[in-house]
Amino acid sequence: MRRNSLLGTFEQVVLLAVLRVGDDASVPLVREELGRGLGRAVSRGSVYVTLDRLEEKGLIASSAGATEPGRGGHPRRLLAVTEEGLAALRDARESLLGFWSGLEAELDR
Amino acid sequence: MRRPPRLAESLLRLILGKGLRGASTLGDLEAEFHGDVEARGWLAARVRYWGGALSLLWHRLLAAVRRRVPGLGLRLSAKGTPDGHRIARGDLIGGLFLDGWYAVRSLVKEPGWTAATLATLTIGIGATTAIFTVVNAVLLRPLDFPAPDRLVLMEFRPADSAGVAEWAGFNEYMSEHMRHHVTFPSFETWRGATADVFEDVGAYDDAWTYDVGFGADAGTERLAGTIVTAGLLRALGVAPLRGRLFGDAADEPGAEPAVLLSYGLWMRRFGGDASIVGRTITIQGRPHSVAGVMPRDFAFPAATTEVWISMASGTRGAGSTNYSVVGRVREDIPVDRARAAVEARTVGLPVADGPDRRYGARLANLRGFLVGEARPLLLLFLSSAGVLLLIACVNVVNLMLTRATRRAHERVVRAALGASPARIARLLFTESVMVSVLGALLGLALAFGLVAAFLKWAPEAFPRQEGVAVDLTVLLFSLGLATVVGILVGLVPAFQASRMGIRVVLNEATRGTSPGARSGRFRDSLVVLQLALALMLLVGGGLLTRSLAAQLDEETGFDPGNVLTLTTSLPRSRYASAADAERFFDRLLAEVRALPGVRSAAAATYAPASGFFHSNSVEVEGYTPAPAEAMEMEFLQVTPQYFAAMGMTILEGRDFDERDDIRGPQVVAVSESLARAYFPDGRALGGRIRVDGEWRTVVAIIGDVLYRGAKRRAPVLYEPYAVSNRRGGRALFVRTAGGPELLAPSVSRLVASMDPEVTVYGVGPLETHLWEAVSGPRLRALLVGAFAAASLLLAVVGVYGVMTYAVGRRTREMGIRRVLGARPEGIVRHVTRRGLVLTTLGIAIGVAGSLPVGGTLRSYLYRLEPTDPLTFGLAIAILALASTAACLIPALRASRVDPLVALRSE
Repeated sequence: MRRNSLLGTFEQVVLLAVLRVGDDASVPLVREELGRGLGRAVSRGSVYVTLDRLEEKGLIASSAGATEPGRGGHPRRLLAVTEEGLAALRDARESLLGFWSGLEAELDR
Repeated sequence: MRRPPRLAESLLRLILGKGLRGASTLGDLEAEFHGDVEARGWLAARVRYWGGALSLLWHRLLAAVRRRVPGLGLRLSAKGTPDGHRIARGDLIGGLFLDGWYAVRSLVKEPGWTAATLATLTIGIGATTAIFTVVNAVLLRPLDFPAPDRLVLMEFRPADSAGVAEWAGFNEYMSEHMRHHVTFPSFETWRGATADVFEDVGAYDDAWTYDVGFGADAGTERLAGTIVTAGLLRALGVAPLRGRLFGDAADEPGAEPAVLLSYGLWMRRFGGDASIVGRTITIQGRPHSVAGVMPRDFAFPAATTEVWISMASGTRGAGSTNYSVVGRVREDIPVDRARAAVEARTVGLPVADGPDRRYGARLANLRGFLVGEARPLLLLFLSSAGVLLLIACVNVVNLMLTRATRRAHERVVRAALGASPARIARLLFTESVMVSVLGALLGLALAFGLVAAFLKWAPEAFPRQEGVAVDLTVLLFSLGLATVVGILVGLVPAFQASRMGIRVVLNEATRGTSPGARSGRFRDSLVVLQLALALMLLVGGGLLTRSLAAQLDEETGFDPGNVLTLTTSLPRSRYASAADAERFFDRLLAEVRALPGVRSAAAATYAPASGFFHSNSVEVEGYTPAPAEAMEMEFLQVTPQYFAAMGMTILEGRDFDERDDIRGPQVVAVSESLARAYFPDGRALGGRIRVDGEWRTVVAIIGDVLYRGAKRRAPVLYEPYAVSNRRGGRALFVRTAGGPELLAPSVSRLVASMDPEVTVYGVGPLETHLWEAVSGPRLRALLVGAFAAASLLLAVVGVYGVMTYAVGRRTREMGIRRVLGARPEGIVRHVTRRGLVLTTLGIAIGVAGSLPVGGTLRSYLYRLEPTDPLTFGLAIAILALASTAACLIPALRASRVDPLVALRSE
C-alpha cells in the first residue's frame, strides 16, 4: 500500500477545506468551511489537532499573518496545502474512485 | 473591553506552548470571544471560550495518549480491556492502569451507588467552591491598590455621651450613612489637623449620577460618577493610563472643571482614541476637560463608576453630608500610632455646622467599608455551605461503608487467591480517589454554573463583584477540598475493613443476618448527625424566607401597583432657576395627565427606596425637645396629586394645590408618626413647624408609609414643590389604569418632544424598583433556602440508603419471620422503628443546634423571633415526613418479601 493512502477521511476533508478557503486560509475560516461542507459544527480541538498532524506529515505549511486588533497581539496562522499534500489528495481520490467504480448498479438499486 | 476568562487563557498557554501554533490559536479564540461578546453577550462568550479551551485540551490529550500508549507497556486485549497477564511484576504504571481499570469497572457495575456518591460529592464540593469563589474575591483578596493595608477610612465617632445619645436618635439608615460621611468643611478641618500622619488624604462623593454629554451629535448618557479631591487619587496610588491625575489646584474654588474617564467608557465612547486627553465633555451641561483615563481594572469606590470629577463640580457647603474621607498612612508611621494620633487630634474639633458637632474622627479599614454588609452575608453563606459539605461527607462515608461491607466477600476471595493486603488496599484506594476526583471535577463544573448564576442574581450594589471568577486559588481550594474529603471518606471504610478479619466476614456472609452491631451503630450515629445538621439549615432557611415574606406582606401605606416611575434630569444651562424647573414640570405633568389611561401624575425630589434621603432639622411649635434629642427628619418636596398617585392616604386636611406656591401662605404636610410624636394627641392640623428658619402651617396629616427594606416608620415632612427652591430634576410618578409599562414609551416621548436635552432614566413600574430594594433579603433567603433544600435531599438520601441497606442485609431474617407467622404490618413496624428512632434523635439534636443558629440570624430577621415556633414546627414536620418516607419505602419492600425467595437468597 502506498504511503498516501494513509490519509484519514477527516484529514482529507480538512485538506480540501484549506484548498477551498484559498489564500487567506486561517484556522477559524477552515473550521467554518468544514461546518458548511459537512453540515454540522466541527469541534475546535479536532480541527487544530488534525491541522497540527497534517503539518507534521508535511502536507500543509503554515506561516504567521499580520497582527490585527482584537486578537490580544497574537498573529493569525495562515495555512497552505503543500505539493506533497496535493499529491496525497490526488492519490486518495484515485484509489477511492477506483474502489467506487463498477459498483453503480449495486449502489443505485 | 471584556477580557477572555483568565484561567482558561492560562490553561491554553500551558498546553499550547509558545510558537506560532500556540500564539495563533490564542488569537483565534480571543477574536472569536470578542465576536461572541457582541453577538451573544458576555456570559455566553465566556462559556464558549471555555468550551473551546476544553475541546483543545481534550483532543490534545487524546492525540498524546494515542501516541504514547505503547510506551506504557500496555496492550489492549481483543475486547478493548487491559490485558492483565501482560503486565510484568513491578511495572508500576501498568499496575496502576490496571487498578484504574478495575475501579472503573466496579464503579460502572454499580451505577446506582456510583451516581448517588458522585451526586452527593458534586453538590457538596460545588456549593462550597462556588461560595468560596465569591468570598475569596470579595473578602479575602486585598484591594487592588499598592500597599492596601496603609489605606484607611476616616469615620465619625461620637466624642461624648451626648453625641452617643444623639446618634441613637437618628434613624437606622441615617446613622450608618453619617458614620462614614462628612461635609466638605469638616473634611478640610480633619485634613488640616492630621496632615503629618498621612502621605495623602482625600475625599469623594459617590452619591450621584450625572448627565454626561459627548458633543453636539453624540448625545448624553446618565452615568455613575464620583467627585474626588486631588489627594484621594494620590492616596489610592494608582497612575492613570493616559494623561494625568488632578493637581491640587483642581480642588480650589473656581478651578477649571476636569474629569477622568474609566477605561470602559473611553473604549465605548471614544474607541480608545489616544488623543482624548485635553478634549472636552459636558457633565450636567457644564464643560469639563478630560485630564486622563484610568487603568482598566481601576474600580473605586465601585466598578460602576465611569467618571471621576474634580472638586470644581462638588458641593462645598455645610449642608451636604456626602463625603467619605480616605487617607494613606505615611510609611514610617505604624497604622496603630496613626489611629491614636487621629483620634487624639480630632476630638471635639470645632468643625463646621451640621450634624458633625460633638464628634471626632477615627480610622477604619477601607476594605471593610467598601465591602460593607456583604461581609456578614458571605460568612452566613460560607457557613451554610460548610454544613452542606459536612452532610455530604457523612453521606459519602455512609455509602462507602455499606459498599465496603457488601464487598467484604469479594475481598476475602481476592485474599484467598493470593492478593497481598497492600494490593487490596491499593485497589480500594484507587477507587475512592477516583470517586472523589470525579466528584471534585463535577463539583467544579457545578461551581462555574453557580458563580455565573450568583453574578446574574446578585444585587447591582454587591461590592467587588467584578473580581468574582473561578481562578487558580479557587482551583487549589477545590482540589484541597477533594483531597481532604477523599482521605476522610476513604479512611473510615479502610479502618473498618482492617478490623474485620476473614473469619468474621465469612461467618457473616454465610449467616446472612444483621451486620456487626458496632458498625451498625456507627452508621446510625452518622445518620443522626446528618438529620440534625439538615434541620439546622432548614430552620435557618425557613427563618429567612418567612422574614422576607413578612417584609413583602408589610402594610406599606401606599399602593405601588400600576404606578410608572421615571427620573428626569434638567441641563443646568437651560434651567438656571427653580422657576424654570417649575415651569417645565408644570407643563410636563399637565400633558402626562392628559394622556389616555393616566389616573394621576405627580413629582417628588426622589423615588422611595432609591437610596436617596434628604433630611432637615425642624422645630415644632409647643414641643420642647429633650437635651440631646435630634429634631432631624426626612424632608420631601412633592407636587399636587403626589399622595393620590402613590396611593397614600390623606388622614386629615387637604392635598397640596395651586395655592401652595411662593406667594401663598407657607404650608407643610406631616406623616402620622410625626403628628403623634410631636403634637398633643396627634392633633397636628393647624399647628406650626419651623423649617429653614420659617414657620409653616400644617395642612394635612398623611398616613405613614413604609418602603420595603426600611425597618421603621420614620417621621416625614412634606413640602409643596412650588415653595421649595429646588432647581434640579425630579422623580415622576404616574398612576395608570392599565399596565404601567405600556405607558413608559409615550411618557418618555413626551419628555423628548418638550426638550430633547432633558435626560430620562430609571423608567419602569414602581413595583420593580421596590423589588430591587429587597434584593439583599431576597438573596439571603434564596441562597440559604437552596442550601437547606440540598441538605434535606442529601439527608433523606442518607436515611434511605442506610435503611435500604439494613433491610437488604436482613432479607433472610425477614423470610424466617414471615415463615414463623409475622404479619406484613408487623414487619413494616419492626423495620421502620429503627428509622424513626434515628429521626427522632436527629430532630432533638437539630432543635438544640438550631437555637444558636436563630440567634446569629437575629439581625436579618424582620418582625420575627429567632425561635419562631411556626418555622421550627414546619422544619421539623418537613424533615420528619421526608425521613419517614425514606424509611417506609424499604420497609414496605421488606414486608412483601416472599419467604421462599428470601430463604433461597443466600
